[in-house]
Parts: sequence; structure tokens; C-alpha cells
Amino acid sequence: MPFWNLQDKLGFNVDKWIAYQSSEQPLKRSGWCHIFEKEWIECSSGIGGTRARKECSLEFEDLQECVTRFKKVTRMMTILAQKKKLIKEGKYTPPEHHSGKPETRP
Amino acid sequence: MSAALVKVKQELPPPGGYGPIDYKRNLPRRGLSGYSLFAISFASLLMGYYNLVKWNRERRRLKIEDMETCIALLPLLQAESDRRTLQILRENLEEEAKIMEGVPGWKVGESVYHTDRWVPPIADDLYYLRPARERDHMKFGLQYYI
Repeated sequence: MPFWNLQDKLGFNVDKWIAYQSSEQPLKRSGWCHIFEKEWIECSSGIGGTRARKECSLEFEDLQECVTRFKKVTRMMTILAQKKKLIKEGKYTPPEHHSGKPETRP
Repeated sequence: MSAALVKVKQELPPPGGYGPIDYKRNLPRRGLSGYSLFAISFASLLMGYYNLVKWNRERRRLKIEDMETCIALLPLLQAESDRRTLQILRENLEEEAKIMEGVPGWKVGESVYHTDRWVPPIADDLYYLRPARERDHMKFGLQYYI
């Protein structure tokens, strides 16, 4: 995909490690969203931008969700708001292990 | 003239004059020569390097032993941690079912991703129903600053 690909031809690695998360990292430590990014890149490489936007939208949405965690946070906020409402109405008490006491099991 | 012969109390040198005064330079040649000082410091350097290298090799052996014990215990600790994670996720799922009972259009335990791969949970996943102190302890407990 790169045009001249000097880094591969001459054998050095100036910015490949930072260009995207799924590149070769030192100490073999993968990025947070390595797998989602890898799937999206594999799905959308070589088919052009318009086609990629249409066909790889699921992978891209998963990658976005992993990076921003937006859907997860909205979901948690909804649950917490509902929990607060129920506690105020008195219909729900949090169980004992949610009260913040230290755990006695490993 | 006669005034000079009158006995006046004067401060005079002792009879026979003063004793001999040594006025010549006194720079005795003493101590080790420059070459031997160089030799002593060079030898002390070499001894120091030798001890350092020996102790570093010993430290490396000790560190490898520590790392090997850590590696040996790793499966046990990882298994415990995994069990705990799964238990907390299960409990959270049940709590969520209890809380969102009457809410219309809510799918309990719905994954936010389109894929059905196992996505490792983050700290917020596990602790969002508990007091914030626990989550902060998990995230920042090993730091000295936040």
C-alpha cells in the first residue's frame, strides 16, 4: 500500500510502530484495540474508501466503540440512573458485596 | 656624652649574642613518588571494577531466580484473577437484570460490540455498580500520584 516503501526496502522502522496500533510493537505488547483495528484494516484494505465505508461499517463501529467506549459508558449511565431512581423509591437495595467492604476471598 | 654612660634600663641582647637562626628553605622530600601514587590509584580502580563485575553477575543470577519464581506462580495467579473477573461479571449481569426489570426495550447483558468475540473487560465494567473507591483503587492503587 505505501508507494515507495523505503522503510521496508532499507530495513529501518522510523514510524511504522506509531502509525497504527496493530503494527509490530516492542516487547510484543499489543495495543488496547489491536484486534478490532486489525479486523478493520484487513476488511477495508485494497477496496477503496467508498466501498470500505459501506462494507466494513460493522468492523469500524466496533473499533470506534473500543477506542471511545461511548456505547458502554452510555449503557452504564442508564443503569446507574435507573438504580438511583429505584433506591430513592425504596424498591431496590444494593447487595452486601457492593457496599465497599474489603473482600475476604482471594 | 656622660648621658650615654649613665646606666639606663635598656633591652639589650643577651651577652654572647643570640644563637644561630636557620633561615634556609626547608622543603623535605617525603612521601611516595608520583608514579607510585598513579600505580596505587590504578590498582585500586582495577580492584573496584573487578568487584563490581563480580557483584553484578551475582545480582543478575539473583534476579533471574526471582523472575523464575514469578513465572512459576503466574498460572495460579492468572487463574485466580480470571475466576474473580468472571464471578464479578456474572454478579453484575444479575444485578443489571434486577435493576432494569421494568424498563421497556432493554436487553439484559447486551454486548455493545457487533462481534461475538470475548472482549476483555475494563475496570469500569467490573466496578460500575460498586462505590467509586474500589474502581479508583484498582486503577490507581499502585501509583504514588494520580
